[in-house]
Order: sequence, then structure tokens, then C-alpha cells
Amino acid sequence: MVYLFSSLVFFLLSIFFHVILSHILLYFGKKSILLVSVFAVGGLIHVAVTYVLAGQPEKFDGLFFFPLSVSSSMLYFLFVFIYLVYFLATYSGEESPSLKLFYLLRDEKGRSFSEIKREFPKKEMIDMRIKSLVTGKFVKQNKDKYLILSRGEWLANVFRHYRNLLGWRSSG
Amino acid sequence: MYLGTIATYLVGGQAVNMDLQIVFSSILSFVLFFILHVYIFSRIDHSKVLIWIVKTCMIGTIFPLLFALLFSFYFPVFGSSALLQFVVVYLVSFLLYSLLSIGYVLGMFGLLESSLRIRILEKIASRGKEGISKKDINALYKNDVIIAKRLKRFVRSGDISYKNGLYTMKRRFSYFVVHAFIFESMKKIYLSKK
Repeated sequence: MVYLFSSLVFFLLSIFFHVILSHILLYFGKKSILLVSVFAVGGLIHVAVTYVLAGQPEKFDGLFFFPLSVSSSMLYFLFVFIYLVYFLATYSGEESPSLKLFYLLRDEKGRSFSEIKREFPKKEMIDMRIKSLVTGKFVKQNKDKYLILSRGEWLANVFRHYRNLLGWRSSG
Repeated sequence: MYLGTIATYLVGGQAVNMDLQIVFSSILSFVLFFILHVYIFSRIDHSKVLIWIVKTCMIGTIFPLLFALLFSFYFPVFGSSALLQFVVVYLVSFLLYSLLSIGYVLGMFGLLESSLRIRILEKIASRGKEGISKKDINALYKNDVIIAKRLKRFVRSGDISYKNGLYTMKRRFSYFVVHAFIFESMKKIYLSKK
């Protein structure tokens, strides 16, 4: 129990420090993805704590101190992974069309297809995404054409194989 | 065996076996969930993915239970009762399996299913050295199609109703409510936006 609790505590503490540091950077008009390293520090402290607890079984005995070092580290990693998926989506500043649709319709007023369509400018839907692919060095722009780069090709192949595995022809 | 030796060295004590049983149980449960997911998703109607991904994750929760039973009967941990071993292995591996499934749905499946960016990337990759113009990409991805596809998915999942030509959000709890809530909270916390 204590081991699992330690994962949760260090995860929450990492979030706390991550938020504080992000706001400090934001105050100076900056933004950095490197701040996610706070979670690595949190993970290392958690591992150190479990190492200390497990090293003294005569002192920390009983059900509450059941040694779950590997499980609790895995728990910490999964908490961080899921949190970062959400954080990175927020960090990019883009909203997925599904989420935008959800926010738009949740006032329960009811909208027609043409009313909904008006809220989705093409520039936002496609252009922003192409721009982010260029920024991330997945594709490059050559005059009026977009060409795939090796990193992008690798990622595209991963998803192509994944789609084939599920037997899907299209998505997105 | 090798992993067990490392883990014993790291934490010491017999109970470490239970720790490894939990890790194996959760990972194997996730692998079985993935096989089941591939089997089911290659056979269902594409517009029903939201319903089926939740159903598949729920069906998969049976695996940690089965592994916990298997481990407590066939691989008893020295110094611990079978019941205690079952309860600890089941609860913790259930938690880890759930997080693994959520991580997979958010980080991998979600991208394949609805990411426009991935779809555009694949389209650019398919053209190879020839490349593709923005005009051609725009022609391939029409706003109407993108929105209609998502509306259809929401209607099928029961999150949105379609009556008399109007789309309305239903007042109900769903996976997407939680998803939207987390995004909104993130925006509030990091960007101080409402």
C-alpha cells in the first residue's frame, strides 16, 4: 500500500511543481517542453523511496509495507504517460474536431449541420496541422509541395501497419 | 528467472514474487486485451468504434481476475495466504491493466481513429518523392466529411441525438465527458483559460 501511495504522492507532487514552473516560465513569456523532466525527477525520487523501504524489511513490515517496487514504478510511469498525453495536447494549443464538436453541442440547444460547419474553418482544421508537421520535421515544404521526411515516413509506416492489423481502410 | 533475480536483488524478500506476478498479470492482460481488440475491430462497423472500445476494455477486465486466480492457486507466494495473494494481485493488476488500456486508447488508438494530422502525414508519405500540394490535401479533406464522420460516430455512441435535422448533446455520462473535463481542467491549470 505504501509503495502504491508513494507513486501517487510523487505523481501529484510532480504535477504541482510542473504547474508552478510552467507558470513561472509563462510569466516571462516563455514555454518549454523540457519542463516535463520534472516527472523524471519525481520518478527517481519514488524509486529511491521504494529502495530505502525495501532495504529495511525488519523495520517496514506487514501488509502496508508489502514490497511492490516494480508495480508501483509501473503505476507511476502509467500515471505520467496518461497525464502527458493530455498535457501535450493542451500544450500544442490545438483542439481536436471531436472535442470542439462536443463543446459546441453541449449547451443542448440543437444545431443543424450547416450551423455546426460554420464553426470549423478549414484553415484551422487542415493548415494548422500541416504547419505542425513541418515544425516537427515530419514533412518539409518544397515550393508548393509537401514532402515526407524520414521521421514522418517511419511514423506513417507504423500507423499504416497498425491500420492494416485492424483491417481498416480509412480513418481520421 | 533473470528478472526475478534482479528484482530480488533490488528489493529483497520473498514477497517480491507477488510484485512480479502483478506486473506479469497486468502486462499479459493488456496483451490479451490487444488481441481481442484486433479481432473485434477487424469485424465491426467503423462508426461503432466508440462503443466497442469501451466494451473491449470492459471485457478485458476479466483477465487480471483470471491471472490472479491462476497465480494464487499454482504459484503461491511463501509467507502469504492464498486469499491475500489473490486480492493484492487482482486489485493492483486490475489498476495497472486499466491504466495500460487507457494509455493505449489515448496514445495510440485515438490517434489512428481520429487524428487528422496522422491521416495527412500518411497521405503525404504515400506520394513519396513526388510530394503533394496543399490544394490536393484540401481537396482530400473536406470539412463536411470530417464533421459528418464525427457526428455519425457520436450519434452511434449515443452521446449526440439527431432529430428534425438538429444535432443535440444528450445529458448523460460517457467516456467523452471525462475526456472533455480533463482537457478543460488542463487549460485552466496551465493556460488560465476558461
